[in-house]
Amino acid sequence: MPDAADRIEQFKADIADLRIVDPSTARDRMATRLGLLGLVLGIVLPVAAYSMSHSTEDALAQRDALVLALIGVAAAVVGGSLYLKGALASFLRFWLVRDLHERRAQTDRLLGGLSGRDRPAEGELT
Amino acid sequence: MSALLAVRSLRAGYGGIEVLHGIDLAVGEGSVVAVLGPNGAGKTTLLTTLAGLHPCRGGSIWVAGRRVNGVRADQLARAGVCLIPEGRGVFPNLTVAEHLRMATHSGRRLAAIERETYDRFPRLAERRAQVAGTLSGGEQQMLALARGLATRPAVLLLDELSMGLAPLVVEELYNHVALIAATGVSIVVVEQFAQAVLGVADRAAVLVHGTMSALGSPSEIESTLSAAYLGATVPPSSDEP
Repeated sequence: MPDAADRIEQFKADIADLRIVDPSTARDRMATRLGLLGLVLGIVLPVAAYSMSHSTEDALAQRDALVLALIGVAAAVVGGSLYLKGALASFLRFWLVRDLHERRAQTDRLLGGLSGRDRPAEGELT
Repeated sequence: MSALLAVRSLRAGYGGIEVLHGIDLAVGEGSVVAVLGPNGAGKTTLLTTLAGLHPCRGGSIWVAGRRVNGVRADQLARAGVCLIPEGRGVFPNLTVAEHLRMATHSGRRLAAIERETYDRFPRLAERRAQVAGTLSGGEQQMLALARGLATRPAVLLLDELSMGLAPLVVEELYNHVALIAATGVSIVVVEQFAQAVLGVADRAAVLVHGTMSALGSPSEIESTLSAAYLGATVPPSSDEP
């Protein structure tokens, strides 16, 4: 059944090519991006507010600029928290994978070393 | 035989209600796995979760050796995971030929789809100009099967194939299912009524209240079905100590 075998191989290849985003990873990535956006706003808004307040002597406009600058500070604080959360989650996930990989490699080395030695004779260890 | 489709500790539900509580299942290449169980056991939820139509809350779904949690239903369908839903889902005002024409979205030529379909289901060839709403239940189910097969699936998910059909028609449909599996397609069938599907299944499982209460060969499962459905206990055989 060469046609059926080809179809299964094609299916395996298609599945291997699928771009699959783990929902939890996608959430962390979104948090990181939103956090970065908040941090950028935290810089842009106060600078814009500073230039706005300097370009006028109208007290009302200067108060608006003050509010704008405070919104920028709030965006920076929220953005910073989100960025930290997303970045930490990604880093810890990477760390966990690295740790698992190292442990598995260590176990393989250990098993490899044990299989290379002769088994101890009965009672040799006692 | 490697598992083309496998689930491990699969959990799924609706709102605050969890329907599947940690399902484990594996389907090998070209094999038929029957999932049996009473109404409300979670059979349809299992199939829709496998097809990517329903999100899973926990556990993992593996297709062709790859974890596919979170993958979209259209991506899975395009790759070759085909769900034939309960109630057939044919369009009553379209003809048989028009249904087959719709399947050309997969990139196959209409002539090839029609030849394959009419060879497999000669009765559909006789009804090619007839609208699906006027077909018999069995013919509609054949059309649903044909439409799914026209996309050349590698994994076929069948939901209650026998619903509302006469036993002879069901037997004929399951003969087709066995032939489809023989071409290398991996098939998961969920059914309430066991007899028809157990004849063609390689393995069978009983799903009760969202958990697998039994998994084994069809003959083993047949003996435990009364317990699963009716809450009865199977008496031990007399030659046991």
